[in-house]
This record gives sequence, C-alpha cells and structure tokens, in this order.
Amino acid sequence: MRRYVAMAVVAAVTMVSPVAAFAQETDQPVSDRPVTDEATDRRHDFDGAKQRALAAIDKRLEAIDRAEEAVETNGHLKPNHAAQLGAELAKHERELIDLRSDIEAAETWAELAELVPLIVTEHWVFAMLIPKTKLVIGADVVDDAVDRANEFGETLQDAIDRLSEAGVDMTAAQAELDAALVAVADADAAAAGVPGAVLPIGPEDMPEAGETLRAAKADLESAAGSLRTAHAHFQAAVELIRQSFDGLTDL
Amino acid sequence: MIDFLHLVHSRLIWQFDDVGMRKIITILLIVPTVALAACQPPPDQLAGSVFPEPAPTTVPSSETPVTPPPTAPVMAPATVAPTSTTSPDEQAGSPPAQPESGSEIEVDPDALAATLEELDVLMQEIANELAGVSAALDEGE
Repeated sequence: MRRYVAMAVVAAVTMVSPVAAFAQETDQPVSDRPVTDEATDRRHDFDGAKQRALAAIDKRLEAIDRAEEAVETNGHLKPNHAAQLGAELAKHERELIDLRSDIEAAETWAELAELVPLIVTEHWVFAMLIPKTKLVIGADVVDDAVDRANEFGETLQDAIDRLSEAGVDMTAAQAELDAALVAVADADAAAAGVPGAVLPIGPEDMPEAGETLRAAKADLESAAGSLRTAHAHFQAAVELIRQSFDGLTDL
Repeated sequence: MIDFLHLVHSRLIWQFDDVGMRKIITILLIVPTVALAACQPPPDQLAGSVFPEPAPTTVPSSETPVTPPPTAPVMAPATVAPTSTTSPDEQAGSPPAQPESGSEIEVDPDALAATLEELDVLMQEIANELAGVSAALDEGE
C-alpha cells in the first residue's frame, strides 16, 4: 500500500509539478504569449513536459502490446481468461491512445496538468494491468502443469504397479511418487484462487488492490515452489524405476 | 494345431538374440495362426488355449510368451508386459483371460524422463511470468 502511494506521489511530482507551477502564471495558450527569452524557455519546458508525458504513454502502450501478444499466443491461458484480459488490454490501449492525442493537442499548462495524471490514475499499467495479466497466465500455466503432472503420476503408478507385480521392491519409488503427488496438490491449491482474485481488479481499486496482487504473486510463487518439489520427487521416482527396470532386464 | 504353432514359435524365438529376427519368426508364424484361429470356435470355447485375444494396437498376441513366468516377462528392451491376472493352472484348464483394453503398459524410462522435461518447460514458463510481474512492479507508475 505504502509503496503504491509513494509511487503515485513520485509520479505526480515528476510529471505535474512543472505543469502546476506554470499553470498558476497563465492560462493563455502558450503560442499566444510574446516571444521573449523567458517565453521561449517556458515554451521549451512546456514542450519538454509534453514529450515526457507522451513518452510515458508510449512506454505503457508498448507494455500493453507485449501483454496482448502474450494473451493471444499463450497456449495455456483459458479461453474465458484470454477473452477478459484481451478486452481489458484493448480498452486501456484505446483510452491511452485517446489520451495521447489529447496531450498532444494541449496548449496550456492547465490542460497538461489535468491530463497527465490520468496516465497513471486511469490505467495503472505497470502496477495493475501487466501484473494482473501475467498472474492469470502464470496461474493457468500452473493449472496445465498440474494436469500434466497428475497424468504423469498415473503413468508412474502403472509402471510401479507392473514392476511390483513382477516381484520388484518398489517401496522407495512409491514413496517418491506419493510425495510428488502431494506437492502437485499443494501447487494446485495455491494457484487455483489467483485468477478469481486478480481478474476483477480495476483502476478504481488501486492502489489498495496492490496488496491483493502481491498476495496473488506470493501464491503463484508458492505454487511454483511446490511444482519444483514435485519435479524433484518425480525425478527420483523415475530414477528408481529405471534402476529397477535395468535390474529386471539384466536377469 | 494352434498350440503346435505356438510351441514352435516359443521354441524358435528364444534362439535368436536379434529382435528383428524374432519379429520375422513371429510374422512367419502369425499368418497360419490367424488363419487357423479364424476357423476355431470363439475364444471363450477354447478351453486351454494359450492365445489371448489380440489387444488392439499392441504387439501381436503371438509375441506373448507361452508360459507365464512367475515375474513380469521382459518382452523387448524397455518394455515390460503386464503380468497375467490368471494363474498358470487357470490358464491351462480354463478360457484365457481377456486382456483389458490398453492394459499393456510400457515402462520406458527414457519416455518418463522426456515427460519430466516437459514439466521443466512449464515450470520455466511460470518462472518467466513471475519475473514479468516483478519487473512490472519494479517499473512502477
């Protein structure tokens, strides 16, 4: 929470302070002012502020482009999640393009002072939109990985059963497989709630919803950790099966 | 006759170490076997037959060892056939057990390792998304 408030304050100070200072002096269009050295400086500052605002928008549009591409091409994302994220990204993209045009057309510091903060407050691209998109993609990848891991568990169980029936002691492999499946279930439980928690978050919920996003990230990290644990146990089970199998074929 | 062909097959096939030769022997014997089997009554009337119904898309039934060994027979490298659900006595004097569809499980440690690599790739994707979240949050507004 503090982090987001601090970010918002820094962004506002950086982008708005020169705008506000000059807005107090005049509301006249910059182009109407007499051409003096001071006016030239002000014009230069005005153009500079505008360019910084436009660059800030461009940076956000590029990030949205990359996120849209990820949503379109990621094979793990569920169709309903892809549809919702795609629509949301497209909406923010359209609005930022409109805002860009408005800022380009701005003639006064007052206009600029009104428009520039909207870059952050209406979109929260880096604090909300991109993390949310990536968290949902990550959660859906975990979901696929869990399915794949459970299928793999069934394959290993069959192999262990066959070798057990053949008289091979598979106790250790079975223990590794059981531990792997517990870890897979943990991963599933950790990531299952992520999409539901982050998808409803909108700009109006920020910056408070930053905590929800951080909690979802922690859940996804936990799921990734559980999958790593599962992977290690699967690997050990496969190695034990390989050794048992080699022993059997050597007979 | 089928029993005879099967006996010939079982005696011959273990004379060859080469898997290709075993397959040739199998193919040479399977044709008359199938022809004879077609003239036989249904399998459930074949008391004492050692030929199980061939499972679809699996190795020909003629490659099944004649006598079920006490442990799962090794049919070919990297393959373990399912152990029979019937005892040798039951097989000798009663209709053959019908293998369950898809019950023939291949134990291929290399394939298992390949699946582990698939899981590796998925885990890497998750790590990438998490890194993207961190990068966006670090970027700040």
